[in-house]
Amino acid sequence: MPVPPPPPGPAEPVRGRRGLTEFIELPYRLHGGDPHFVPPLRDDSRRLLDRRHNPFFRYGEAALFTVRRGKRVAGRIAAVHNPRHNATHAARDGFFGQFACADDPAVARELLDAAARWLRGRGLTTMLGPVNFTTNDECGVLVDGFDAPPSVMMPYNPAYYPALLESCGMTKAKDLWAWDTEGKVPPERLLRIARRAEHRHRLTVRPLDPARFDADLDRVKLVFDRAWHGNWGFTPMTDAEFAAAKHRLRKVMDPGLVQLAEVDGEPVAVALVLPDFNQAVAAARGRLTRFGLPIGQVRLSMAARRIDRVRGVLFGVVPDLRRHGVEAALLARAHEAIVSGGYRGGMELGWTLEDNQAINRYLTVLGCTRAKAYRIYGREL
Amino acid sequence: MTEDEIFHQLRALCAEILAVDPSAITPDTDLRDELEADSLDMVELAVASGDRFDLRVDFDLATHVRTLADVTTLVRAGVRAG
Repeated sequence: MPVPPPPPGPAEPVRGRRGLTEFIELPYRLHGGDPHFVPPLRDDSRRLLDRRHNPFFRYGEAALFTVRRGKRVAGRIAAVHNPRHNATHAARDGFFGQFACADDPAVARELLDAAARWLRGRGLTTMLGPVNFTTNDECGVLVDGFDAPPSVMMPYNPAYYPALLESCGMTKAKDLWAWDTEGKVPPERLLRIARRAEHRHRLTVRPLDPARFDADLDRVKLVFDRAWHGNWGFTPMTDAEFAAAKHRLRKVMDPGLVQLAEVDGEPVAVALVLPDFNQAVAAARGRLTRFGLPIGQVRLSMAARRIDRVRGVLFGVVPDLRRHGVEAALLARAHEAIVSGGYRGGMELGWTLEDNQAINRYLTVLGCTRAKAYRIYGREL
Repeated sequence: MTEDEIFHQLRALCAEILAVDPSAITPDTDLRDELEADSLDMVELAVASGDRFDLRVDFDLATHVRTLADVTTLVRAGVRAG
């Protein structure tokens, strides 16, 4: 007779370096065999959780939990308290993140209940997630589009995750859509609209200037804060978070891909397009060094030269210029830059909120098709 | 600017965008059904109209109007408001 599996243990707070290593290693063990799983670099995973390195921890707090089946860790979760989100949205939302779990509802329930208890203890009334650790970071569970690996700075999970979370009483709070911008509209048609819009609005669309990288990224943030203001879940980055984002972007960015639109020198729209660095990260297989040798680093560097896809991370226009052709100008100029940069594998654009009908409708008209959907789940506490 | 002047300028724009003879376009020509304009053509017409008449013509034009008479009405309202 087969031996029944041991019952799941209780959720335990992560303690010490060994506990943290078990927490970090779990997704590699659970999903390492999935052809679309892109193992993050372990150094990056550790830095994200490190209170000294991640600027989120200057104002927010998080607690990490794991659940075991027998001796092995079978699930992990972070309970996340983000006071800036609640101040911005006049809410009492808590979050969960860093969710990784075997296809095991009992384990998932232990994890989510532990996060819920921790959040309730802070007076929070709703639990949303996964969010790692803010909505400016990776968030959502992939619910549609399992046939391709994730683009840079987007999450990935096996197809059983949505049902697993739903079996624990989590329900949809919001879907986030990613778009494929390839090929439905001939570029010359977009360019014609772009030229008209540029003339109409005295719009200058230009790539980032590498000699003024910091100053230009500050202009990107001005647009980001204005264009996203009031959006569901959006909280502006702190200066420290933006400085950290700049540092990360500097490593992966091709400045020629980023399109900044200005009117009379004032930034009014941005298309922040990045090479899909996940193509290189996948080659490193989660580590930059093995046996003390920079094997992963070499693999990553070689693969980085072959990156052929891009991701449109931000695509936004300030409110008073929306839906007057500026979006078409941005997309057309982004396409030009992508082609001249030698990226032939297409662009994933997103995410957009499912109920942002104006932008979703416009993207459809501009020839984009919905490629993936990610879900933020929620439940009352 | 009179309605007739607006119509003639719009008709020229429309003919250029859709690559048809201007004489094929009357105020009541259904741009989508008869001239096979797609949504992107309508976006271009919205942007081009805004440029020509120094107006902000919203993208919704692309999804709601069907004839050049509709566009003329929108542009006239915009010219008056301006």
